[in-house]
Amino acid sequence: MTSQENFWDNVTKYRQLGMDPLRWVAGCAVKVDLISVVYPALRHIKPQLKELGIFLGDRVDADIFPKTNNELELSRVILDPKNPEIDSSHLVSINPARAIALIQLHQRNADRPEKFANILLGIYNAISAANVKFFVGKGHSIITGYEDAEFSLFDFIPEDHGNAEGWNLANNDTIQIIDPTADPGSYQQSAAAVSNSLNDLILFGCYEDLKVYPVIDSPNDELSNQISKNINEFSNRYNVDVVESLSPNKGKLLIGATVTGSLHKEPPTKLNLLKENMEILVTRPFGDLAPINVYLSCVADPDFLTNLESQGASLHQVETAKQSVVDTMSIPNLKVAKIINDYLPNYGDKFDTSEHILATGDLSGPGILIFKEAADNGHLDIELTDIPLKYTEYAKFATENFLMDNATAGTNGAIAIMAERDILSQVSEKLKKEGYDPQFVGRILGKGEGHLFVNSNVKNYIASASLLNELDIKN
Amino acid sequence: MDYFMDVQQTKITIDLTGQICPWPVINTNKELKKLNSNELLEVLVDHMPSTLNIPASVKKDGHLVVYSTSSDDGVYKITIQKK
Repeated sequence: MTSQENFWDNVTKYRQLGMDPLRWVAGCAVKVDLISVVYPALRHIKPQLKELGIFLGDRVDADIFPKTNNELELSRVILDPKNPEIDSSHLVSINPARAIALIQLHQRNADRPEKFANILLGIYNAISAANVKFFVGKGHSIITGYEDAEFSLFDFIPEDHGNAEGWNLANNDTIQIIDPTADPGSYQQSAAAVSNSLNDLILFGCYEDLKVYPVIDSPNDELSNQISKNINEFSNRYNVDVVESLSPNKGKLLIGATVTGSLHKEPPTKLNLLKENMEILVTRPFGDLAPINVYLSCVADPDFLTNLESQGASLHQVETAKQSVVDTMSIPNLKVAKIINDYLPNYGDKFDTSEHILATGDLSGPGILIFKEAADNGHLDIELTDIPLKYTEYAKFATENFLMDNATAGTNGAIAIMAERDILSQVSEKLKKEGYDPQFVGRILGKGEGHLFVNSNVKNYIASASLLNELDIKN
Repeated sequence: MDYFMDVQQTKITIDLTGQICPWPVINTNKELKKLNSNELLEVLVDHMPSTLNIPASVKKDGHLVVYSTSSDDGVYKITIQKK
């Protein structure tokens, strides 16, 4: 059977099981558009929520809050966004101080900020009936093609008045599927989903006390159980605890987790300490989603394959590339966490620019746009001198054919590390010893107005005009 | 510029609502191949990025985007004339 026949055979098989692979999206579950929908909506509702005692944090990779000698435990509550029914006494008994929030909305309800804002207001107004006050440290908003698959999920973190002895970190991330051409119940799909969520802790040098609170949904119990088994296997392999957790139960494929961990050092969030001529290292070449999307298009439509072959590539080559990135995605970057951790000050100590990593970022979802965010948040100007992609030719193909908005994106992707050159050279050597392929990609030009300067070849890898507009493209 | 459709012109409609990129681009291109020159394809989508990616993709191949509309219920209609 050819790859194409195999693909369409799988489509038929999964449709018979109530699943539609033609609606699955490779990589991170598709987020509600941050710039045109989420940010304007949040700006609009923040003052109203504040009056209710609910405070929304800025966009962060992970929520970071004091760790005490009390064990961190999350309490999960799942609500229907359109009809949120609150068990007030349960919420009061949780006594939440913080929350990690995940909301999945039908894409028609998330195309405009006013619709998105109204739904969020409905949810938080209902929660406020319990008269609980809390801070949403990390919010994750994703879209679904299914109207009946909407849900909102809150992992509440209770008040803790113990003495601080370090930091707790928490994050939520989800995928629909990594490789739509493979079995959704395969170990790699689940491992990539959990690794992707862990990556936002790892980039802060966090690898201790890791706990996974799975978010699993699927059309049938057999697949849900298989995903659950896969996550347990992942947990045994990497010595990570799994805490049995409520599922949204919407019957549509979704794999992910809220993850927590602890850090006894200071987290590298010091964009304000970055100075002229400090540099940027990435742990490996990125753009992992491009070969998956190119492979998908070639097996779904022979004309894409003909086009690809005319450029000198074969289906076998792109399939090999696809498998290679899936393999990489399914391994958590725990060794990177340990290396970053070695270059952080102890808890409570100050950063020394001659000894420490100052800031890090995850290239998974935003790709190189992570550097634009760093430039904005740090009031810096940054220059990218190189865009090292794992498969440049497939990134270019995906962009030319509008298969992806941003072919520099990935899942469980490369981590960017910012510091003095000497520190980064040491980090680079350590990464190489652990099998990574670190690359220097740019430098800090100095304090500035949030410009990210890139070479014009970026147009080969980003199709979205609105994303390109965020960049300062050199001729 | 406004374009007026010939009432005799064949127009095929495909409903790609519920699909998320890259599927709307892939399926629009597949459907266009089935049409004869100058025939119209009306595509319904509800994934916002598709409203940009589909026109960009078909224009690259020389087809004409006749018009594009949206409605309050989040469904967008893109009409394409095959080259």
